[in-house]
Amino acid sequence: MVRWPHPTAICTGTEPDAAGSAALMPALLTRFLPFLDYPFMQRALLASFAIGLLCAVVGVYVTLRSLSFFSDAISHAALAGIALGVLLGIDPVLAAVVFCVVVAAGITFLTFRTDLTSDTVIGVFFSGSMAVGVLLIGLQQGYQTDLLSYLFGDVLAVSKLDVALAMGLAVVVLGVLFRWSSVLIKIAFNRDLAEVEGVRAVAWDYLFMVLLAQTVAVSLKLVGIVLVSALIIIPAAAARNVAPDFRGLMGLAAAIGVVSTASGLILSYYLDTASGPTIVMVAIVVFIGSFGARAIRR
Amino acid sequence: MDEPLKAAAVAVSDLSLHLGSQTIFEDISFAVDEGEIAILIGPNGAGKTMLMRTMLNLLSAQTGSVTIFGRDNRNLGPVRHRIGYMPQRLDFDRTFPITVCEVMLLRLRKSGFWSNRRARREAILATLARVHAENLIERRIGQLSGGELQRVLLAYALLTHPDLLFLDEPAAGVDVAGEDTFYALIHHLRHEENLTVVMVSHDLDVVFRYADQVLCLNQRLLCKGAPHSVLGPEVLEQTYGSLAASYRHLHRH
Repeated sequence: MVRWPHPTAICTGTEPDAAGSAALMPALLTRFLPFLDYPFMQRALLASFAIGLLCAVVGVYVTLRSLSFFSDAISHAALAGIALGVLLGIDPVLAAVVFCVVVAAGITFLTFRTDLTSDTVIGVFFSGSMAVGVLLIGLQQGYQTDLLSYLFGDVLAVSKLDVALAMGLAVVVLGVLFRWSSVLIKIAFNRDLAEVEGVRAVAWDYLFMVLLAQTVAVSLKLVGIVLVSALIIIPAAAARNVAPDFRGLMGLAAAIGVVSTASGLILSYYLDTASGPTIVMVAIVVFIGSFGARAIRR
Repeated sequence: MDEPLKAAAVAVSDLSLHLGSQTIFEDISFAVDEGEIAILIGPNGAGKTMLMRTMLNLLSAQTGSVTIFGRDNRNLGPVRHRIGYMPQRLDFDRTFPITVCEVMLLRLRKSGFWSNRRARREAILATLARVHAENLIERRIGQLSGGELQRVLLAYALLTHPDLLFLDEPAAGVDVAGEDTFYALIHHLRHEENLTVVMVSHDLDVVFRYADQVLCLNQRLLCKGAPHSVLGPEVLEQTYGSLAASYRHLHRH
């Protein structure tokens, strides 16, 4: 599990643009938030804002449609995708996106076309894709630090491209979810009512699965395969305890997602802990606190 | 002078549905005129809900056809907004924080869920008032009682001023007083707006009091017509079995 680098390593210039980037930050800001001196931290914060918001909003629909187990299965399926990408020499995140989409589509297809319950189908794909991932890892030569960093996240590995990808995907996914939120809610509320009104529920199921798979894939570098589903589920679960209505739920979940990822990242810097688990622990603290807030509200 | 012929709001012709090796219903043919209340009755497992879902194209029939306002039910297109539907069951997470107002917003066409809520709120309040549920607008949908939920679902179906309502056991889970209120409301709406209603019910009293046409279903259509004309002891026995009987009072309580 990767921890924060020793400050000396930073100062000796291992970060190629350290001096240039640091100069862009207002001195007042870096005086109170010294970690902003480091470009890798700037990238990680930007990525965490985008991913925290994206995962939280997607998580509202995941919990609305009782897809928590499904999202966990997709995140673990990413392991096979990443291993395949490394084996074939292609971008692991891209490979993870494709593999997650295929698994998501497969689960959806079998759930509709067979008599098997959804959790049975998900369980099969969950364990099957993990097995495929471990087998593919075994085919690699030597110690694969990259693969391990995808398991638990690696804030140091967040590149400018990763930030651009996270922010771009956040804009696209959130745009789709915002524009067609009534369709998604209607399907979750009652599928028959939605179809009578002309909604093609099956097509929307597939679309949502694709959006979820992409959200999982883009979040892997920040929190890792093991914990990405926590980042999707926990903010929405916490918000549900106190939100009076759906609009409040969405706003609160988004706020919790952003605050958890950003503060968890900063906290991990000062505590010298792994960023992914720290982010999730902050979210869990907020979740526990939401029960207190609910009791007070009542 | 002959009365002008009423147009058929719903026309079902030779409809059959099989699921696997099981016959759900077969050779069903009937028509429901505009402004008519038609009630489907039959024992549990007779295929009433399946027939309603097939009429709405939620299930694909093996044979036969259904037209609604003259359009094939597989291609309703421009008449879709003229249809309202109350399903038998509403399986959703009752702990989920969504209010009656937000659920009603889902029904309004060409509207965003997040914007211009005040303008739409007036329309929602007016519709809720028609079913005496305006006080429920800010309540969470999961906290409603059975009767309150039924009224909200009816309001949801009525929000776009449909011409045809499909109601699948609308009074299930509602107490006797609530049932009376509900059916009286349907009856009033039918007269006020010439609403066509196709309903599934287990209550023969409701059939005799409100139905223009009764359809007795037990995999096949065993009767169709005005209740007083067709619902005799033989038909009831055929539909429900030998234990069925009806005692008709000639006066109202």
